[in-house]
Amino acid sequence: MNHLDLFLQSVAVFFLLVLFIQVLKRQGIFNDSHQPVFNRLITELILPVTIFSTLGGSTVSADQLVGAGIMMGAVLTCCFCGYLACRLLRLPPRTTGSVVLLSGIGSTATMAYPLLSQTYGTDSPAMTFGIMAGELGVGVTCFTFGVIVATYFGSGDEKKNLDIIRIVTDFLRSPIAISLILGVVVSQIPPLSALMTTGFVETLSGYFAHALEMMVAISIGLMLRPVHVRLILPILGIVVVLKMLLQPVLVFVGAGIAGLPDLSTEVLIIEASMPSGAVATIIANRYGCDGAIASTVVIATYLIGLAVIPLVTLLML
Amino acid sequence: MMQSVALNVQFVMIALFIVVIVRLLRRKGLFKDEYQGVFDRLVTEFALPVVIFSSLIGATFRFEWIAHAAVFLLALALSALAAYACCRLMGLPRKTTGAVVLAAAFGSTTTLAAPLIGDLYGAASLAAAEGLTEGLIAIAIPASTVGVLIAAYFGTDAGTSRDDLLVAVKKFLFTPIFIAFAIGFIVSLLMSFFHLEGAGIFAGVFEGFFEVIRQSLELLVWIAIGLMLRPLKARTFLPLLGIVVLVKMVLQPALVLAGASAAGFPDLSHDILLIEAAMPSGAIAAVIADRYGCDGQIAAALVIATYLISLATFPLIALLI
Repeated sequence: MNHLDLFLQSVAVFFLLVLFIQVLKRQGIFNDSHQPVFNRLITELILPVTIFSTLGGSTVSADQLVGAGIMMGAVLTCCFCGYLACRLLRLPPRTTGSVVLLSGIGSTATMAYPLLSQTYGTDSPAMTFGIMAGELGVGVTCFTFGVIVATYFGSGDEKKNLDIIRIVTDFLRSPIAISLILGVVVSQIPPLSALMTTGFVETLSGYFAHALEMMVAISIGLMLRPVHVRLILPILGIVVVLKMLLQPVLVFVGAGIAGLPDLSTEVLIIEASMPSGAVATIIANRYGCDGAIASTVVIATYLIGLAVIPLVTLLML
Repeated sequence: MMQSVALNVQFVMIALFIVVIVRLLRRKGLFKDEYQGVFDRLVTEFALPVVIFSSLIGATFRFEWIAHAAVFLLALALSALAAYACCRLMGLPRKTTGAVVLAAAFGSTTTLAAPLIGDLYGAASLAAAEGLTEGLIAIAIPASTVGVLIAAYFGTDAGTSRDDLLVAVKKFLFTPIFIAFAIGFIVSLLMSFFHLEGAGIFAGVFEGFFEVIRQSLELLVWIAIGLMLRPLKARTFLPLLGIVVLVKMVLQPALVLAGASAAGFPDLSHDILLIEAAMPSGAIAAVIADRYGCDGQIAAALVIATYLISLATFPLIALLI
């Protein structure tokens, strides 16, 4: 199966989930008041467990750290460019928060890992490198910087009164931050790290990891609202240019400067060309940014990815 | 054998761990009581139909396995009747009766029995396929159809008339989800049969879709159980637990074994049916009970208690097989 077939399949599964939730919503089985339940479930329970189990059982090599650093640099640059574009367009704070997150953070776990696994093999060095670069470069950025950005812009016009120290303190107390810190600590203590590969922990974390994809699709399905085309098109333009075109170029340049091997560069380009992150949408909405716009943009970038990903891989790999 | 006992302990511990986390988050105010209904709906209206549908597509059907399932179904019906009789004798309220009947009849087939059978005989073995098919026909499908009707009947204060039940069944079978899956399944079959372009992708999409939901069901069910749990008085709860343990974990295996011996089933089928029958009460049955108005607190507590009791009973069952 080639790249496009697999990507098409992943996109179709996601759309099918979103579509069914929309059908159930129209039937009255789910309603708008249920959406915060899923947001909370993801940010307070499923994500923390997934982050802890992924980081806790991993060992990081220097090569992977360099890859993650390049990825993180590219993500932060795209987020900053997204912010500048929003300032130029004079977008409201809540919309700006969504655009900033979606311009930098991509669907690494949902889309990139299955692609890498199919292309290079599940137990291949490329896959291991991709997971570490993705988790540390995109995941950690999303769960630290992303949460702080979403909290800042999500407070809307009240943000002038916000104390950045309080935002950071609140973040450090959140389940996501605690799981990040604990995960890193556990990964550095060999006996504890070895515990993370036992059947019990692997089965338990498997439950949460598998549920994440469905919960994210449900949450996005409930978040979707009709949005004016005139409003969404410029925002979509910014996100597509930054996330799906600029980011692969940035990681390509960064990998060249760092002298990474060709295989690692390929993996980073594939990860960087992914559509905007569904989990970033949940974080945006959970902390007060514009969820309706974020969910529409994510759905649109998934569709656009069907054209852009083959183009990027053709030009850069 | 020891490995299967250890696996049973592992599944019970995982279930308890998720329930404890949900309880802690509820105490911290991150989860609220009103979330309960959302998870019940998600399990009964979305995940369960999808899982049943996808299991039906993937199941292997053999005449002898259907005969084995029929014996199990008979044992299940007798267990439900025995539990109902006990509830009537004790003069229990309708909602409690519904919860007890469901917990006494339906066991944890997909959560516990299927992985244990897979572990004992090999995940790709004929025995595992037999266990899956029999569990599907004898437990999963009855739980999500007859179980729903039982829960709806006992879950309403005045009971439900025959017409109401027919309407409920019709509504249940003609939901957009079932219709959409039926269409998707037929299209998938047609594309594969006529070798149409893109058949692989189409089938892959549905397989991926089913897989995502199937793998999420476990977590959803245990979150729902965690939210359902409330402190119960030992004096109220212990007699109910006694009924469920005696009926579900003693009477049902005995009935199944007697039926299998009378019908002359092979030894392997005996063992598979025994494992299926000896499982603790089904977590999905508890969610169905709560969703359709029965006493969810009691149902959830019965599930947790029978899971704990299975830590002692499963090694005994393992000695018999």
